[in-house]
Amino acid sequence: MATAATPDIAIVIPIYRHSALADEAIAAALALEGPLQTVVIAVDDGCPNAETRLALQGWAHRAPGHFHHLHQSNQGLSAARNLGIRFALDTYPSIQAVFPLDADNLLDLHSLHVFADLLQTDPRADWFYPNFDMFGLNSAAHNGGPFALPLLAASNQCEAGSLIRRRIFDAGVWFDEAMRAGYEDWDFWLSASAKGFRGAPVKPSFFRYRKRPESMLSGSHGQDVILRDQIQKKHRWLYAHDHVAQAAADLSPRFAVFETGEGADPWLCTDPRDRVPSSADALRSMIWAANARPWQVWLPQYWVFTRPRVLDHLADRKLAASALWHLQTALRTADVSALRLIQNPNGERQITSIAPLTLSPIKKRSSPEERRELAVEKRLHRQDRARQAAILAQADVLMVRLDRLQRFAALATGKPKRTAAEVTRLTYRGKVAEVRVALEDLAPQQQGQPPAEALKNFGTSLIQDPANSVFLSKLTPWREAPKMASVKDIAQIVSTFSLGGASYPLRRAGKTLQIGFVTPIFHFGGVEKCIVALAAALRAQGVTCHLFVYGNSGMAAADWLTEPFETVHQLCDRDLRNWRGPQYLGTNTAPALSSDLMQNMIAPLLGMDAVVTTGSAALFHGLSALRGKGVQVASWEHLLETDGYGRMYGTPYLAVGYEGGLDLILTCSQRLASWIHANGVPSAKLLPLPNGPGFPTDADQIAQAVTERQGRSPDTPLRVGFLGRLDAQKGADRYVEIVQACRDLPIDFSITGSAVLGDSGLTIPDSITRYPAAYEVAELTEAFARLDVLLMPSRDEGLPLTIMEAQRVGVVPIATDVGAVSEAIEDGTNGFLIRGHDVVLQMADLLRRLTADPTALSKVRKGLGGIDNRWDANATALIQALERARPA
Amino acid sequence: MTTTAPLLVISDDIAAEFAHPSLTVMRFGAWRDRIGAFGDRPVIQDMIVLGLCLSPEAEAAFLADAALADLAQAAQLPRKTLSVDASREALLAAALDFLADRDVATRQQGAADRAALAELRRSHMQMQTDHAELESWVWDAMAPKFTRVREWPATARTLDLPGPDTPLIQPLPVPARGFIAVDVHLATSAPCAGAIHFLLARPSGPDFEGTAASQDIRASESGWTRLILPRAPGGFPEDAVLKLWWQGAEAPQLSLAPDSPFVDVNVTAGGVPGSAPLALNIYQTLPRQPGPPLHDPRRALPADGHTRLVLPGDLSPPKALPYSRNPVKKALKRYPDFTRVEFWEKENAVFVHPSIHRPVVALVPGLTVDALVQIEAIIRVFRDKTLPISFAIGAVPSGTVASVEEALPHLGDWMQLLPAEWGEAWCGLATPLSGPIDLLLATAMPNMPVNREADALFCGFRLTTRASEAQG
Repeated sequence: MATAATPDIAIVIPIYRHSALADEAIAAALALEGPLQTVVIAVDDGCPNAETRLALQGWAHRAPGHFHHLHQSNQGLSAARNLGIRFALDTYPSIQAVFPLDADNLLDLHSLHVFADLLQTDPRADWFYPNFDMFGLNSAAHNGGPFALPLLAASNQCEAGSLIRRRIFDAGVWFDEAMRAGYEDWDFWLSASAKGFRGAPVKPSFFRYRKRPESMLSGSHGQDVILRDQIQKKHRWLYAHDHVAQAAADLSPRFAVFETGEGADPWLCTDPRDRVPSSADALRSMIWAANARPWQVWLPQYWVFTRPRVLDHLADRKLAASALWHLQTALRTADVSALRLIQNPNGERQITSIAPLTLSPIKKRSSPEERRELAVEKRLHRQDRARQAAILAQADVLMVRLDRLQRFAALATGKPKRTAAEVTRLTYRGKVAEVRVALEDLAPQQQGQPPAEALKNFGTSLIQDPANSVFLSKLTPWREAPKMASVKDIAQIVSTFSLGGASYPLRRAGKTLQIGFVTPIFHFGGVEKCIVALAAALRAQGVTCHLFVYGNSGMAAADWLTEPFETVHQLCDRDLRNWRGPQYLGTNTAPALSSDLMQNMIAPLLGMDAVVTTGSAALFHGLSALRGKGVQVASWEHLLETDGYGRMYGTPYLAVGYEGGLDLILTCSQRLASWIHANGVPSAKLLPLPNGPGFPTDADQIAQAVTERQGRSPDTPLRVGFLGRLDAQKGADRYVEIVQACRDLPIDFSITGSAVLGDSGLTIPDSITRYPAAYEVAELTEAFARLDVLLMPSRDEGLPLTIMEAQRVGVVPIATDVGAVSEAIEDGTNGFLIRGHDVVLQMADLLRRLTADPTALSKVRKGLGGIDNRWDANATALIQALERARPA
Repeated sequence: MTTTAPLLVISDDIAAEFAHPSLTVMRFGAWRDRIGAFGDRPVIQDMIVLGLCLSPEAEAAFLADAALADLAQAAQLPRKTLSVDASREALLAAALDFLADRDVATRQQGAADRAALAELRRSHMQMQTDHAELESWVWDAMAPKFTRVREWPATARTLDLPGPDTPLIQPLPVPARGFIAVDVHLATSAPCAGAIHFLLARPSGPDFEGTAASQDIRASESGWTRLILPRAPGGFPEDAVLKLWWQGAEAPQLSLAPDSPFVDVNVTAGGVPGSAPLALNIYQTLPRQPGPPLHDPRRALPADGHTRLVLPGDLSPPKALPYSRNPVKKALKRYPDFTRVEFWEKENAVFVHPSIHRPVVALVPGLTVDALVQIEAIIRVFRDKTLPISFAIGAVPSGTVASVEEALPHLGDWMQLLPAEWGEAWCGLATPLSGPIDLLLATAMPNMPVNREADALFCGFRLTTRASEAQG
């Protein structure tokens, strides 16, 4: 046999205990004939059988130049493979690819022809994996559809006996020598994939896997859970966040959407912002093909039938992704999910999922006495059916799983009469879950079929070509489908790696930092405005922000509040605002959540790089799950409240209690950061983000407001106002007393605001001008424009935004020194601080002085300003802190 | 450096020199450098180490080198301790000892291998004998030889059958192992006589050995045409493609199946993959067996004294013969048992469900013969939870039998099968039949209490004609 001076392929055969079977592998490898040159390298991995060495020495005599034998002390399969491969690559620069051949397996005689074809015709593929052609325990299973990373995440598609291009090893990818218990090949493919390499299935036969009732692989299956855990920890690039879902979306969009309007073509998407046009014909063909080869054809897993413009209407409110998520999640317990848009009389936005109806059962009864019960049960059953039909009829959007449509297609071979009935049954029967979306306004009505009819029509069209269906069913390959994850399992795979829930339908563009803000309520409060302001500043610095309202009520329908967010997701469940858990240092925690709610809460957040939670006690239960998936979590604390007995309580206590699960604790003030530090949280975890103004305005508007105020005649009365909730915490009662005490002064008093829960119980004298609460930006601007002095006689505060908003437009704040107010007001410089008791008396005296001496007010006015970029600085600080806190 | 000569390693401090043409001698230091030269752990590379001759000091150093000691233990390297002033003769003696030990080990291993080979040979011979008997049993007596495993229907779309330079390449949806025949569909009448040549090939690599064959096509022939390999390939199940080309003046056109979204089944013409596969029927048989002479019923069975196989799927659909006498007709309605005659596509068999009260006879038209003298049917009781069933077969000129009563005299001997058994029913014809004929397939369950699950199948027919006088 001639010496292979410049071999193309190295066949590396590690041997441990398979002394006799190795002869077969070596003989097969040496017998290969074809257009490539090979070299065979046998690695004796410290085999205890002397026979192994005798055999290898014999083969060295028989095939000098073509065969090398290496001996090492036992290091394990990975190390033995690595040794042989290193030797081959170092010794023969001509090697193009390596084939690790386990000692008990075989290569077919024509393998080199297959290798030559593969290397030549598919230059982009980095490794080529065979079918599962087993001998011994004879079986043949194919290697599935095209190579797909999300499937590799779920199970190993690639046998170690694969043809591996040299470039993978040159890039530093080797078998992990620490993985001695198995799955080292799976780990190897994942390591290669991490560096951007990709595999390709080989369709022709060339490799034979010896299957015995007991094998090493069986051993590793016994440790499956441990080894999978090991692999998932090692390959966080794939298993962290929602990367598997993103990888699946790279291969196929999650949703197929049919708008029922005239002439509208369907489109595909995962993220409803990224639509890919399609056609009904193409989708039908794909469904038929998927019925024939479910493991090969990638198809959207969820099919949506919607009235025209409904999704656009939701997208305008940034709720489209959330709506699709709710419909998808509802399909976990239902056959069909139906979304209905309704107008909310409160003018709020709210998405509510309603579990499917459980139809009243009809029990078999035989005795005449039971006829009445039977009649009642039948009636109830009919009523339930009618309600279910009404939900379907009123639906604006319907969603079904792919398998439901495949069942339509499977009807093609049935008898026509039965088929028609079955189509109707598949459309209108089954469990129906409802998703109600309440909005401040409804989508403009456009002509279009009801979605249920559109579903039925599409289902009917799937069975109109039975001959084609029958023919396609005959195109299955001769090998069985492998018992491993395949395309048809993709929904389950994505769910598994989304901690059992549905991942948020979001496509990440590039490496933009994604931050999710979680809040239990989203109205017009200070905390909400902080979130909005910070999100706006983050967006200006290239961060993509998303809002997650995890509570039990609707959210404000003000577009300026949601403007900085890319998407808004709402989850409505009373348990999300349940504070009846055990107390931690006097502050109630949230009780444990059901697993479904926990999954629904956590899974959508996995697409975020970081989550900032404000006041959501329920989310603290998901901290370890989130961090386990690589999501950084920060709690943003604003306020310590005081109860009726003067004791402090509030979410800062919870932040202290859950500190171990948090990457960062953000505070609205330095003072609160100090308090949390004093309670045992390392300062490295604390990031004060001092509040700035809570609503956006531009420099021109500010200048105009300041000029107008300065232009007022000194003879006109001073305008003093109260802005905010009319409650005791804000000191509304004190304000009324101050007004009474200043009746003799030339002051116009006003109140802008209302009580949060109905009537505040406060009697407001007629001398105070009342304005309704200001929510929109224009209203807020106007509210400040009609003031010279803002009075804040609060009993509790964090660092109120109103102070900075007032200062920004030249309104002088007079506030009690509570919370972190002193961080915003330097007494006598940019406002006035009232300390100690007798707040009413002190404020009245101050107003008296200011009316007597207008220059005092002018002097303070000059000290205002310089706070506009505070949120920008906060955003920069947060980005840097997250970067620092990110695990290596 | 690759060496196949045994290597004797001598520690550096042993002064004596030693050389022998059959041995490679290396000092311990040099050897240590060699095995340490690769990677970060010692590896013996392409060496046959006969043994190590070490001085006490060198041995101590050797044992102190843990990695090296581990390797020596794993590789079971023999070792001897010699004094530093050991003579050349002492080294020679050590080498001889090593060789002697090695000789013993090799002999022992050789003996073990010979014993293993003998055992393998014995079991191989036994297996060959058993296999041959099994083949005979299966082949000659029992299961049908052709199983139709895939059918792709013909459409109006066609493809020209090219010449030998650029054959059509049709991937097969079955492994090469056991593949025996394929029907292709001639879309239009063949413009002139010629031959379709075909060959079973690997998608990559050499063609399957002995799988080239051809089928003559007469001018104006059209429709399904069967191409049969001389012998079904054996070996491991492997992917295969069928190469087809035309040898003749003007090539006919082959029909295509409907469009397929899967490129791996579509036919390639002129190196360009198409959008559909060829219309095909594919047959499998026992691996490594020659295909039986399968008759195409669209042609007359010639009078040549040969026996040919006819598959039920190639014949017209069966129909149940009625009883002619009125009282029986009326009585039929009262029969408690179920009877039915139909073609079972998946099994490619005629199903004749017997009655416990009377024979059930199916009539199968569609054959034209010349001097038919004998018919055999391959019969089977499909289920194991039933009672014995009797089978019989016969043949009559087409259209001459219209009832069970008329059919019974033409049947051969009744053959009884137990549940789940295979067997053969036989009928000799006293007067050779010529022209179109009808096959008569009969079943019965006389004296049985019930006929539940009595799935009686006729899985194939062997027809023998009388040799013409010219041949005789």
